[in-house]
Amino acid sequence: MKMKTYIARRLGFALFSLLGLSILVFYLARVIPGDPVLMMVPPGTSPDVIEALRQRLGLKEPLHLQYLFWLGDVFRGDLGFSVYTQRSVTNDVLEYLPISLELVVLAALMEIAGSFLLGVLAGTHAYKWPDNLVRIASYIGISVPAFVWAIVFQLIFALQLSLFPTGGLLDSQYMDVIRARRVTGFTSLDSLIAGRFDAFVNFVWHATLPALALCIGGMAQDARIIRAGMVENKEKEYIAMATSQGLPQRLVMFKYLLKPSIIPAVTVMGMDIAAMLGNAFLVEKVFRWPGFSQHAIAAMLRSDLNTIVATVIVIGIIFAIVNIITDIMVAYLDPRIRLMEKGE
Amino acid sequence: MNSKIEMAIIVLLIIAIITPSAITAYMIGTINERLATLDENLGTLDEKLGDIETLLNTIISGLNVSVPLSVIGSATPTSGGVVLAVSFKITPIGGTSPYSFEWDFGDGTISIERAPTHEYTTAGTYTATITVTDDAGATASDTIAVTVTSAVTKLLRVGFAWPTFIDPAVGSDYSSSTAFTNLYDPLVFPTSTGEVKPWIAESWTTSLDGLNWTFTLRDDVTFHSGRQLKADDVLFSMERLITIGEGYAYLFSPYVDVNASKVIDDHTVQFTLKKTFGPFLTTLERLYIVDKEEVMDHIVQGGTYDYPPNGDLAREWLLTHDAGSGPYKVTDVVLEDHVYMDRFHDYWSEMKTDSPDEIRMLALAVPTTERTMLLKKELEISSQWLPEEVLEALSNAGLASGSYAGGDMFYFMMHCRKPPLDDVHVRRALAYAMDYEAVVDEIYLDNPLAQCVVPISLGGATELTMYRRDLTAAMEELQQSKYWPDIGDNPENYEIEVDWCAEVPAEEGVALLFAESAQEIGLKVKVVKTPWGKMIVDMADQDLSPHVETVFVAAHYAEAGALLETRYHSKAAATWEQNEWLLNETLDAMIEDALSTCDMTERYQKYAELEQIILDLCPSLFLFDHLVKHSYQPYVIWPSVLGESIPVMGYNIDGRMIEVIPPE
Repeated sequence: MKMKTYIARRLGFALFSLLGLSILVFYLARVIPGDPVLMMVPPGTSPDVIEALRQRLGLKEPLHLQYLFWLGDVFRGDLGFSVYTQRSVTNDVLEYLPISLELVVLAALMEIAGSFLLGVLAGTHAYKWPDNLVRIASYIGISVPAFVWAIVFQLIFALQLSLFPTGGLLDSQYMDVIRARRVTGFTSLDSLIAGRFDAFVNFVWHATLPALALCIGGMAQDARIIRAGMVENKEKEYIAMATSQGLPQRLVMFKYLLKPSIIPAVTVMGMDIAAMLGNAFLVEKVFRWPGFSQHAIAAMLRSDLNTIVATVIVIGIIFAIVNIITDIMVAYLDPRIRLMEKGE
Repeated sequence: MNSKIEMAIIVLLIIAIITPSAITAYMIGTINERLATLDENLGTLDEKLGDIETLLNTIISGLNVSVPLSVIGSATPTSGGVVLAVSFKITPIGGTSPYSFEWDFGDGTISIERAPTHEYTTAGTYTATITVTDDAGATASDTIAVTVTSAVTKLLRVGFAWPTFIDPAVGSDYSSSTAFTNLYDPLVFPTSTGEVKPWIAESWTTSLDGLNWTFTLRDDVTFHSGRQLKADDVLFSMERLITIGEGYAYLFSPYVDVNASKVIDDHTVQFTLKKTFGPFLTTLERLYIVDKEEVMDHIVQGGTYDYPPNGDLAREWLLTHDAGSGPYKVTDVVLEDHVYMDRFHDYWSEMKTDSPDEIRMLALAVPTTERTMLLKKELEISSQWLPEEVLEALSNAGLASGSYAGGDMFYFMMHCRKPPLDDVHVRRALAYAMDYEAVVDEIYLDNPLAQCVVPISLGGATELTMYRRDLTAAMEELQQSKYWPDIGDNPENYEIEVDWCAEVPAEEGVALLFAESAQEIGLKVKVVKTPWGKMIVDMADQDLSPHVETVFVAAHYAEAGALLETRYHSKAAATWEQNEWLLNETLDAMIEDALSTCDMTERYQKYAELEQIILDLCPSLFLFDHLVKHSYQPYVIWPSVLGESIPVMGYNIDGRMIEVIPPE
């Protein structure tokens, strides 16, 4: 099967870029100013203790050796020790990543639904008032950063209207649901596994505002791209032909016009969604979401070398995966790409 | 066509998942309502049943037929707040009387009465089981569910900045120290006057040479594990702290000889010092006692940290658990998010009537989030990092605002070995030029101007003449410097760099004010925003250190000497608490001499002399004693902001002192 070799080849490339990324980040983390040990211990700590800590963290070795040791550990599933959290980075990643992924998945669903809705609305009513309305909304959506949306939503929906909670994962009465048994690390799944539908609902209620704040920028952008694609393709001859053949308007619209129009949007959407994980830190901070993104930034501010490298690489891996998925989807949507791959 | 079928299947699947869940959730609600009604009815029914039972049994015995034994149990009430007294009743039917009864209340207690009343003292869901045995030996049983909820929880939620290390051998910052205060007991406890009072140590004696300190311990202190606190735990806590070497270890490791220190009996411990150390007693407010057995039970071998033969000394476990005897015990820790702690009901010392039942330390980083939480009553006490305008807005919205002396001072640290600041006259010129009043009038509102070299709350000298703005004096000093007149003609050759900490935006205003003041006497100042991480690295190196660093420095125990040592002793050079690079041996010797003086009056006299010398050297600008400001709920009674603050970092948010009287 050609598709299999295609995916395998993409995976190979991804692995190669990740290796490159790891070398780059590993060195960069060590040349930016900041000393993880000095930032961790109080100023009066004796030099012996500081030296011993450096030794223990392997910071005394030459850089290339440090990297090789690190790489060896990574293949054994050990991402090193975090001076910021005082425990293994693997542990931290496993705890924080699901919390952010849940948020990103929800935001992605909102982004996809919203951009299709707005994009199709604008595309079908091009140059009429719904189009203009969507255009204005999109410009605002694109130009305002996610954390501002976060603060605005918090002030309106949590403070003024009291429709949504101020922040956190769950209300405290549901905390014991996940505290008792963390099976997957995903709060939504864990509450369903525990058979607590009420906790699941509470979680979604908590996640709504941050997810919305996170997806608005991408949603606005994708809506514009879908609209532009539709307006452009509408002029194509095959649409004119389909229309002149007397096919129903709905069929022309959704089968022949929409499908090719969303291809560029799918590519951008994939990148947007992958980028959310890294960009969510301020939204996470505003909504007290103890997620991966805010953890990564906190670690960077503390020069926590192992965490910096691990978090950047995890984000890299997710980018790579999303990229491959997007490519497959585009190949599925666009017969030209599919046939080109087969023709090789 | 295919895609439509696929879509239909997906939609059906989603419906298939959501519908039963929704129905179940709805059903549970309805069933609960019905059960409540049923409960009420049961009470009435019960009385009638009693009559019916008598009747039935009469009939059965009259008919002389055997009916199999069955039983109906009932209880009123079946739910309520703690302490809940429940009356149980039973109606046996059939079998052969007399009956015997056995109640299992579900909380480990039983009764053989027919209609017992039982008190549930802790919250939870219990299943009470009644077993009836008749004369013929047949048994029947029934169960009743009882739900006991806790009464209104007095909750104290406080905002902090992460990290919060709750292990007393690791943490030493503001939030960590606050956690220690609530989870652990120190050997002695600080008071609002800066002295210490007996705490775990009931009394103490010291040998004539000041090297041996013997402490007699209380015998009524229990750890959260239920074990009694003994002398062994105290010595172990010191050993563990010094072995790990982080946290507040640096207060003890230069002085305490762990090997010579010993346990005399269960309630007496003796610390032996390597050299005399006047403030030793005061530093013991930072020795938090850990439960030795608990620590030893949770040791992990072969991790990143290894202290042979004791593995990691339970560092990993103590990251999210406590081994203390304090008024609160940890219930849940999520790193970078929260530390939850519950009241420890067997606490030995007094608590206030309305001391909080639960304290939640929440990691908060965004002022608007804090503001929203305070307005929604989701937070009792704000973090100490709220900007002035947010504090003011909250105060207008009806929240209380309070402040207390934090025991720290805001310094402009001048590099005494970097031209032109290597000339004392240039330093003094800058000290005279600075507009101190403007700092506390416009930026750090209401903070008291520095009255001496260290915060006055630490017992600083009271008769010093501090530098105040005087441009004439500033010019005179500048003209006496070795760089005059060139420095006046070509100030660009003598540019002074001021680095302010990027994480504390208000510092920029003060740095700009300094630049403006310097300009008035013709000096050129460059203001540079520097991230904390870079500052620490810069200050570790004499050449990298900028001309001036702006830093808040706090004393780690309540004595002027604590800050004099960290600020001006050479051994603290190259840390972020010193950018002066004085490296003055005479000063070092004087600081050491003062610290080794056991007599308190004499010691403080020496501190005062030192302060005068430092003032003459003018290595720093002494700006103001930092006022810690919080916004808090009016239903919180907080002695620290009512004039009873303790000048030791971390001791002001203390569940022993704070009272919460939640509305309703």
